[in-house]
Amino acid sequence: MFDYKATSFALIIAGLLGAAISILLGFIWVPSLDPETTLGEEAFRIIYWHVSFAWCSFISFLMLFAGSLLWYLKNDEIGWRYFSTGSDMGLLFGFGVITSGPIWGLAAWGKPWDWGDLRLNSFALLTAVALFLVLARKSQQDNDENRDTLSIIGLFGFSLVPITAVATTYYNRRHPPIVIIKGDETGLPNEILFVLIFTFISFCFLFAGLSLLTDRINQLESKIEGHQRNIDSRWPN
Amino acid sequence: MAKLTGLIELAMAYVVMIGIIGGYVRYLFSKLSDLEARIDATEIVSIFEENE
Repeated sequence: MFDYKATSFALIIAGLLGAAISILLGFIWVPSLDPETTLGEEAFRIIYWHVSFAWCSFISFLMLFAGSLLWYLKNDEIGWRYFSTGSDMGLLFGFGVITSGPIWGLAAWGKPWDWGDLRLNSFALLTAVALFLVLARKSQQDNDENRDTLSIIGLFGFSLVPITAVATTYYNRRHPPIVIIKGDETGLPNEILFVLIFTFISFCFLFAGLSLLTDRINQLESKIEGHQRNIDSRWPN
Repeated sequence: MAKLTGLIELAMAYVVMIGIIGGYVRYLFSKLSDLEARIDATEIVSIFEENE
């Protein structure tokens, strides 16, 4: 039988180890950059974790979208599992992005938030949708009607992903543009690009481990609910 | 002093992100142990009631 606990533990440890190494590489191996061209002198080193958190949150929202669609169209139990795990992971990684971003913003722009920047606000809204889905799932009764309603909200939430993704290109105001693609005004030195990709791969391990464990917990909660209903049904009214 | 610009913010951001991940990992493992114990307990109750 597949051992969820041991596998997820190994993935989480591998991910955390890689993430810790990425901090060291970011400090020791990557040279300091010209303060004129970077955002926040030394604070630019947040990029490795901040961007990896953001990419993992997009994977989570993709999972949430697939789950919402599967549940809404087919009432597929696997779809609901994707939905549940995707919303939990979306909240976790989204929360990491919207807390680390303003700290970086404080160093780079002199203020933590810009209410006129489309990317910042659409991403905050996306995380708020994930928060709503997690709270609603935990507070409402688990039945088909509620699952239908929440999966529609999940589909609506995903529509914010492309808006957030293109916001830096078309409506850019303060958030930096997509820097990993080399262009006239964008691009990263090879060392930074290497550490960024290494960090993202480490976060993928972490993401996989946390997703497995979260899914296992959601399944066990359903199982307990079933057991409790069974026990309750045997008691005389 | 100018060389330190952003280091405090960098440290703060790392502490927050490590805290988020660490807190969630801790929550997952304690929740898993709790659920496994509760499942064992409900299964024992079910077996006991079936035998009665």
